[in-house]
Parts: sequence; structure tokens; C-alpha cells
Amino acid sequence: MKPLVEIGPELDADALARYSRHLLVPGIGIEGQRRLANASVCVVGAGGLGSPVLLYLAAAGVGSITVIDHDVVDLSNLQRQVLHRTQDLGEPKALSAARAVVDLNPLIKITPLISELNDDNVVDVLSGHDLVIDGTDNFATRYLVGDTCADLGMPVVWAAVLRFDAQIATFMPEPLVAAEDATSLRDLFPMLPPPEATPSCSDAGVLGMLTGQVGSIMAGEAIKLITGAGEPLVGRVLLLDSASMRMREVPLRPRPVGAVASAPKATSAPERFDAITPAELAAQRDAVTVLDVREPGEHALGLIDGAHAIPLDEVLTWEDLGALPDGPLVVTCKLGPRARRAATHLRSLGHADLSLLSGGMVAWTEEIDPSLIRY
Amino acid sequence: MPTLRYFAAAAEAAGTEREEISADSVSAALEAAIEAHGPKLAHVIAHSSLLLKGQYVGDRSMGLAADDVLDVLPPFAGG
Repeated sequence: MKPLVEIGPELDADALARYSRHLLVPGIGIEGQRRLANASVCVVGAGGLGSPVLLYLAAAGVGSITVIDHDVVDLSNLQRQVLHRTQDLGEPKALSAARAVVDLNPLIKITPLISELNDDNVVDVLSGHDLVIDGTDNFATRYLVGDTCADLGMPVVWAAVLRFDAQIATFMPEPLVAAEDATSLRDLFPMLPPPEATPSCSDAGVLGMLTGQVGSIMAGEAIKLITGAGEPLVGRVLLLDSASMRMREVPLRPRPVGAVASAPKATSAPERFDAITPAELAAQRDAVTVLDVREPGEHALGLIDGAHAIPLDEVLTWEDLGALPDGPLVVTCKLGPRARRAATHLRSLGHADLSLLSGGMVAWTEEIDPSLIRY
Repeated sequence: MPTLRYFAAAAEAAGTEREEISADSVSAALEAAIEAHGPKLAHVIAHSSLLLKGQYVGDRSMGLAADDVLDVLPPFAGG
């Protein structure tokens, strides 16, 4: 693959001494090292994956690194986030990361951003880099990164870990590759999976070492893209099972047109929805459809007149919006969280006119229809 | 016969990383697998991405040829 980054200025004696082991590697050499020095990488997340990525990119002499993370170092992080130290507990991770990078390699420029990545800042934060490393821990942010990089024409090195398992891929956009080869996270997971399908490391655990192994692979992908060496994980997904220490790969191509109803761009968690109060809903009851995603036992205690009573689990299996009439939809459950999950899924299927009932059925019973059973 | 390849939670639920299933469509193959391995696999498959020759399978009624390999990838996001 053609190197992503142009050769930069000549290296001085310090740099040549520091990077000598790279200079000796065919495919990298002095030219490759000068490309690394000229490269600019944005690392999203200074956690499990971010730790090894940041250390190895810094060690490799990537000239300019931005790290963005809004979180602070927590005790449970230290099981795997080897960038941070016990004395850094409570410190912003982005700053702790910058400190570790500077200690390792003062020759490079590191820009820490203590911030969440969201709709408002994503283009500003990611623009101007040669590639992005996705070291985040939730799908919403991953889609934000992936969708924005596809729009900006920037490669994303992506990986996800859980327990003993990892998936790793490098997504190359147009115009860097031809349309028929350009992939993004959406070609692998087109729709936001429901939260209960994607346990986080804090729910299900992760082998600390795995983040080191996978993050190191991600750093390697970045180095290969920048220098043109080797063969990055483009058009394929690496599946790593560290329990058996076996790796497999599956091919990845762009998803077929119309594979899913066009998925709207992700917003960062939590998804934002319009809210409608019970009084507002009562006033325009005939103009909207109501979807009540509680369980049948709860439905039996009373419904909003004319509501579609369909449990959440069933809604989450829908792959299109055929079960619903067209037009504005108000989603409700007892208090709100299940309605939010259902609405998130419906949005990913392309529904463009969703609101959540503020306070759910509890509020409706309180304010509009006290004849319904409180529970 | 077509082959199903399972990864992570799918492999755990199926008790295997790969198996041949006699079926001529994606949905028939999944039904047979769920029949054999139970509701836990059903739940994982419901949320997984299916890839056939590297392409996401949006329409599970699509046909399967004898030498097709269907990959089952559960989503995870940890980092």
C-alpha cells in the first residue's frame, strides 16, 4: 500500500540514535522513519487500547500525537492501562498519558485534550491528522469516529476487546482506496447493537494483557499505513482468541446497498431524543402513534388509549419499521430507560420522528389518567 | 454443506468454532444451529453480524451454496 505520509525533513543524530532499530528494518529504514516523524495521529481514548498504542507510537517516533479522553484514572484501570501509575489516580487520563509519552520520547509533540468526543467537536478534533486510532469503549462513540473519518477521508484503526476475545481492523475510506474497497465500522456492524448485547469490560471483564496485545497490533497498523510497509488489516477483520491463542481472519467488504435501512449518524451516548410531556401528548393524541414497550404483565395494568403494546425485546429484533404506521411516534415504558433503548433501535432503522414520553407511564397515570393501576 | 464459523460469545454458545450445517439459506442454517444449540445461541445470533464472503448479510432469507462459509460475529465495544 502506498505510504500515507510524505517523507519529512532529515533526522538529526539524536533521532538516528534513538530510532536505529527501525532504520535497520527493511520497509521502514530512514525514509520510513522520516515519514513517521512527519505523521500526525489522533488517539481517541487513553485506556486499555490507548495505553499501548500511545507508548508504541511515541516510541516509534510519530511526530505528532493528539490524545483525547475525558475520564480520570481509576483504580480498576490499573489492571490493564499500563500507561498510568498508581500516583496518577484521580488525574485526567489525557494528562497522565501525555506525561508518559513525554518521559518516553521528548522528541515528539503530544497534545492532550481533556474532553468527551461529541457531535459538536468531532470534526475539529479529528481533522488535520493522518489517521485515527479508535481506542474507545462504546459503540456510540465508535460510530461517531467511524462516520466522521469516512466523511473526512481518514483511515481508522479499530479494535474491540472483551474477556479473552478481540476484533481488529483497519478501515480505509475513499478516496484513499476505490469505492469497492472502502470500508468502515458500518460495514461490519451497520446498526447500533442494543446495550444488553454489548457488555462493557466493567460488566464482563477483560484480560489485561489482551489490551496490550491488541493495542500493540493497532500501533503496528498505524506504522504500516504511515510507512507503506507490510500489509495492513484492510479488507479483513482479525479475530483474536487469546484463551487458545489462535487468530483467524474474515474478509470484509462494503455492505450491499440497501442492506439495512440507512442508518443515521451516531450521536455520542446517550442518544438525544425529543421529550413530550403527558399533557402535550394528551393534547395531540390523535396526531401521533404511541408505542409502549413494557412487558405484557405491565400492559395488563393499563395502557394509553390506542397505544401499540409491544415488549422491548420484540422491538429490538425488528430489522425494519414495517410494524409501525408512518408518522410521529412517541415511545414510552414505565419510567423511561426501556423506551430510550427502543427509540435508539428505531432510530438506527431510520425512523426520523421519535420522542420519548417524559416520566413514562408513571407520569401519565399521575397527570392524565389516574384510573390506571400504579405499580 | 455450508459452514458456520462462530466467534467469541457465539462460539461459546455453540460449543464450537465451526460446524457444517445442511441448509440452503442463511435463515435455515441459523434455525438449524439454534435447534441444535439452544436459546443462548439464538440470543447471540439475534444481535450478531453475519458475514458471507466478507459482506454483511442484511437479508437472512438469502441462499447458501454448498461451499459457502457464514461468519457469526457478536458485537463488542470494549477498549
